[in-house]
Amino acid sequence: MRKRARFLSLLVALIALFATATVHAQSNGLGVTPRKDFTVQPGKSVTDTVYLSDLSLNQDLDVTIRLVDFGAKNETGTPALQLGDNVPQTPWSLKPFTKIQSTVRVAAGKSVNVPISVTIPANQGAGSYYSAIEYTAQNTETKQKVNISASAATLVFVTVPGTAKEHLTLKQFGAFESDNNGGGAFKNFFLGSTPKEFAYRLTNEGNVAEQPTGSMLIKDIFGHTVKEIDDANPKKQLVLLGQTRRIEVCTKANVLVSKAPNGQDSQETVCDDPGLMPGHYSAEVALYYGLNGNNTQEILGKTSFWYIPWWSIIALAVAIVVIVGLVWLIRRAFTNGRRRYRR
Amino acid sequence: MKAYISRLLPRTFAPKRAGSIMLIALLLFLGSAQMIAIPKTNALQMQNRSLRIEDPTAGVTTRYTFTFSYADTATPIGSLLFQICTDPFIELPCNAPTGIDASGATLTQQAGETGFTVLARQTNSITLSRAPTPPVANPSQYIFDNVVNPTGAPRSFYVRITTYTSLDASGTNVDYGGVVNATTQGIAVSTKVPPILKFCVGLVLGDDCTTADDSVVDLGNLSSSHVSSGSSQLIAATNAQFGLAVAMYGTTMTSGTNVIPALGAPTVSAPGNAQFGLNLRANSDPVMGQDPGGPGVIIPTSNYNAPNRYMFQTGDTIATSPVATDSRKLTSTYIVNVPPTQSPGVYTATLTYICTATF
Repeated sequence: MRKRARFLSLLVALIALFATATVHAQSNGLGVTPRKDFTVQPGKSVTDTVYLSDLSLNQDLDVTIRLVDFGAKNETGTPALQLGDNVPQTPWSLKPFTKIQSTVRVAAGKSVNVPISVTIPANQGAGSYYSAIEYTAQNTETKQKVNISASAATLVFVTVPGTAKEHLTLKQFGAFESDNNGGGAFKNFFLGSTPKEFAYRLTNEGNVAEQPTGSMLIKDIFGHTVKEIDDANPKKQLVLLGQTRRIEVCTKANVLVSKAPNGQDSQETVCDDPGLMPGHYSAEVALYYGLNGNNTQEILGKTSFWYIPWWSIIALAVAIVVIVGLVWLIRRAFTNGRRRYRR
Repeated sequence: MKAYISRLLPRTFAPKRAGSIMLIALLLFLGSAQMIAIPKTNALQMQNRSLRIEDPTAGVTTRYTFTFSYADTATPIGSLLFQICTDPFIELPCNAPTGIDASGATLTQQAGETGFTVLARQTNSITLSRAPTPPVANPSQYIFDNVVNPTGAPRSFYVRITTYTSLDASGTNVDYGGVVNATTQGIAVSTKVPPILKFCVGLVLGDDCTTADDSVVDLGNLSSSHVSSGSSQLIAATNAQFGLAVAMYGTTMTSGTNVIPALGAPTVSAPGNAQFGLNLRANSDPVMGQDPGGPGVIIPTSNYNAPNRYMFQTGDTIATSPVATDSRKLTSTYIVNVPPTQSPGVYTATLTYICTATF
């Protein structure tokens, strides 16, 4: 009897030890679908799946799934997730319309497709609705440490067709100089290099997350078009409800293709020098937006800028000095000639 | 002769005055050129314009429904021109979107201003004609069947609509209006690699996420005489065109009701003060961390991108890539300093790094 008790206590201790040893050995690597876009008529449903993979080859991935609302973080396209427990639901939330399971386990190195359904009530108004599906790797907290966990999210955008309020306002348009921190400044005087970027700021006062599209023209002082930018929203960026969004576009885009170590082609778009001559330029942007079948809305913007590089100022100064010098020499020659003639 | 020329020259001609005259001339020239540059047009813009595409899938044959209101209701209209282009500017040549085909389009219905017949059809244009009469019925609608959508990846395209008094869309246009629409993903491109967002965290990661299975950073015993530090790593990548952002959510170090305040702005480590923060760079004080590495283009945001300066604000975006990016590894360095008066206890912080696509 005593032997059995000793064996049982040893077994319990071993189980406890094993549990302690493995409690942190959970995968912290996820691969997910970054974004889903649906168009759902009122009274209809759409069913689909979202991809979820365990990137760890050694440990299974236990994930909790939940829907969280999001807005825009300042004027960028970075989502501001509303993770608090008591955060009020946004007017554009998909939470009431979306069904997805709350937990899932993915075997090491494997993937699953998690079903998702979105049902829009028949009386739901037209417009855009969006939320994020957040997947969080489950780890056990440990005291006296910093506990870290990985989480990824799928942004889900649903468009409900119909007559919706679509209203973007152009706040600012101009040549732009971006910094390395996602910011930058509008400028209309360029002394160093030509303006490599243009930007415009749009405020969304409607109930549709808009993806404006359009083109841009740069004209010289004579009104000749010197540069045409076919796509004024090359990254297909969205302006969320209530957001003021800054959208940037290269004056001359150059796509650099390189080979990544994993063998895949990696593309990077860089803004090249558009090769403008010094002078005064104007730029026009025509932006269009509107749901399929709704009125096309149009925004027109105009701006102007000077491009006067230092070398052109120096060249102009030298040219003026040379011309003035020549005139002065000619004048002196004539004056001397007149004196000689009088004598 | 010389005397004659010299009389034409000014009596006093200094280089200073010559420069001023040339400058004034240049400004006058620029001013007059600017005035010349202002474009003028008498065409009015159509109102309430829309294009409804029955099936916007790339490459399919479908129905296009144009609706608009004529702006000039006094001038007789004898023809309508619909041009499908890659840009909306009427002053530029119209380039056809790849794959568009309106050469087989048929005018199946018309409402409002009617009486039009198809005069000409080309790959990216349709001309309608009728006996010229002023357009008084607004709004008007024209429905075309058998139009083939642009092919390839989903993209926006424009239809420039212009009206003319002539019968064949020649001469100066009376009204002008542009409409926009976009194709959606077609079957032809569905075999492409689907977008995916990869993200992992761990204490020490290799070049990828295959060993991402640690979740605890040990900072050792906290002391007022020296900084406690630790590090973790994260890797992110995506082939989605919108790029990604990594944000950090969580709490500073707490023990019950006792808190070690987080640094609200990038600050150097100062032992003996209450501090908790992190950054994503290689540091010398304390010696810990690494600069971002790997082929990707993800960069830390400015607040977390200064060596030897640390901060922590829950919800902060700590790194971004504005475009698709290959894998890039970032190393978080955590520092904790406590004052001698810090209440003893077991302090814990819980951080969740969240990676999302941007939009």
